[in-house]
Amino acid sequence: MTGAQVLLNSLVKNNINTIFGYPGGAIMPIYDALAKTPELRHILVRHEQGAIHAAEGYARYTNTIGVCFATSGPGATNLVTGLVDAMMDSVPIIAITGQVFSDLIGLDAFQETDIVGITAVTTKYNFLIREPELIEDAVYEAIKIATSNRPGPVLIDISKDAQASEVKSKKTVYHIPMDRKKSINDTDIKDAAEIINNSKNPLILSGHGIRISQTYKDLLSLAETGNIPVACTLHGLSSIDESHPLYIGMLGMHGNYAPNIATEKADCIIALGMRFDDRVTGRLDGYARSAKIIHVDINDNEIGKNVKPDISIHSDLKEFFKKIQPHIKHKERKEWFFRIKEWEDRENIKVIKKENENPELTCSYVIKRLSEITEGKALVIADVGQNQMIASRYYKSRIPNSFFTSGGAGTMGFALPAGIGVAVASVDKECWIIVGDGGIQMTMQELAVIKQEKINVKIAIINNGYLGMVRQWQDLFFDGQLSHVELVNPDFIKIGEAFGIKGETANTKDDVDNAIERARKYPGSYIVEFKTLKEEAVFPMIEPGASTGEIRLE
Amino acid sequence: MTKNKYTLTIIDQGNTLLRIISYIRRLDFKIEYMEIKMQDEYTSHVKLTLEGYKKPDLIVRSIKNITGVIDIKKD
Repeated sequence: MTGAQVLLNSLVKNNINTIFGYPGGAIMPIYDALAKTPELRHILVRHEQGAIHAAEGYARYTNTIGVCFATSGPGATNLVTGLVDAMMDSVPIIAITGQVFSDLIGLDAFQETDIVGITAVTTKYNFLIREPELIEDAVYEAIKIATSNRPGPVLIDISKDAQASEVKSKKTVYHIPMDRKKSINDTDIKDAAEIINNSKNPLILSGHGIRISQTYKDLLSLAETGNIPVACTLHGLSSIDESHPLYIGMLGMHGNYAPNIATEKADCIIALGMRFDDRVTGRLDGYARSAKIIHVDINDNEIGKNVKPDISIHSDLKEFFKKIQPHIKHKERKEWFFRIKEWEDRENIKVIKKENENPELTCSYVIKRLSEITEGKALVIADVGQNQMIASRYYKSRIPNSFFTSGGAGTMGFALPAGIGVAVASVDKECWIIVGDGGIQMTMQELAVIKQEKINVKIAIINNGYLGMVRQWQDLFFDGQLSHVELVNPDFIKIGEAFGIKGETANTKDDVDNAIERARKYPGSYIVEFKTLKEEAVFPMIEPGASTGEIRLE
Repeated sequence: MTKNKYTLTIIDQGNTLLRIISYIRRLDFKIEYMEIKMQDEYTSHVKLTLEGYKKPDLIVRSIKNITGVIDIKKD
């Protein structure tokens, strides 16, 4: 058996059945073996960045590992953005790259690059394999590392000779220590429960950790038992039914008004599986000054890094919920909910009502209608920029783990390939990719994959002819001096047709419902290009350097 | 702000030197002294004297978070 066959068998043994990849010279032995491994479905992308984002989409939806293949040199470097994305957003990825023959490594051979050096800080770990005997052990370790504690990407770079050589025996050499001591103890739990029970104005911040640990029911149970409002981070979206009366919206720079103000006014913050990212906290010295903070996270590195908690609980969330739930008491908190309602009303009057009254077609209107028509039950994959922030606030996800986006890295071009990954993993679920006219042009070669693999995904292109978020910032913070943000776009419907994907354009509000319905009914992928107001701005907004309490409504 | 010197002793079982150095550069510390000794085939002891303006807590927690670093002490 060759090293390539051992690699593929190891993946199969670890329940991996789907790979996104692109072949090339240095990975040919693996692709040769792949043709003889029917247990593995390989999806041929059109660019390696597409492979890793698709693997991310797959991993994010399934809560398992996403796998991608690329060749050496530019093939491998094209994965780097996706590795950064997966690292920032805690997505378990195994990236396999081919490397030149081992005797050529270090000699600047054709398509040689030091991908292990390049990705040293963009992966959780990486391996350079020159002996076929090490492959099985490396895959085992890579999976362990990618999935344990806070998940993340691992890269395995395998020389071409190691792929092609016969494996004589198996070597077990790697033993990367992964066990971290958790610090959960009964005193912390009792203290945390006491703070929560005594608080008048508590607030739960639900982060990505809820989705990774799949503790949706536990979150809901804690919130309902204690009668505590829940706000979500960007990656915490769809950790709770967003029509639930205790859900008060999204935190952060372009989040909702009420949760951001509530952060400022809360006397107790229960931060669950989140890392107090700068987009969530705003100016740190103005953050949650009145609150006692209970921070629970599986990664102790994040506890106290940005915000110093009063109680630190380094724990898996399942364990935390199990221990704290019996101590939580129900409280009415009428005044707190009354104040939250007032803040929600303020956003409704100053932002939402204004948007509704705008006769022009806006991104906000499109997303609201999409949310209503699909009843919040579609899987939504949002790109980056205005479309992302509007989707995150106005698409009211009703089902767990159904909203996907590039958060930490903020990778434009993420949504189309990631949406392919989500659609492949979810098979017959309704999937909507929401992407701007800028983002779609970064990875739109992947439309060919949709056609070739007969993937059913609906693509909403929000076309305002601008890099909208940059334009908004130039308008607000650079004296309105626009600089290189206007886009002269291709005809997206004709582009779709060229790839064999049907579509239509919606130019007015009146066109929206029918276009969405036609897309939903169409038995296959469908593009709807929404030609929206050119200069729509996203509010509320916390300006850079401002605190959450200084959030602007206009 | 005052510039401070810190000595860190790191036990590493994951060939993580490149990652450690990257964090040192990102957090704007300068390496004044560095010593690496292999304890066995897999375990290295890295002793570093760093100079910088930032609190050592930041560099300690970042290095501690690197896969393969099993212990870090600040003198």
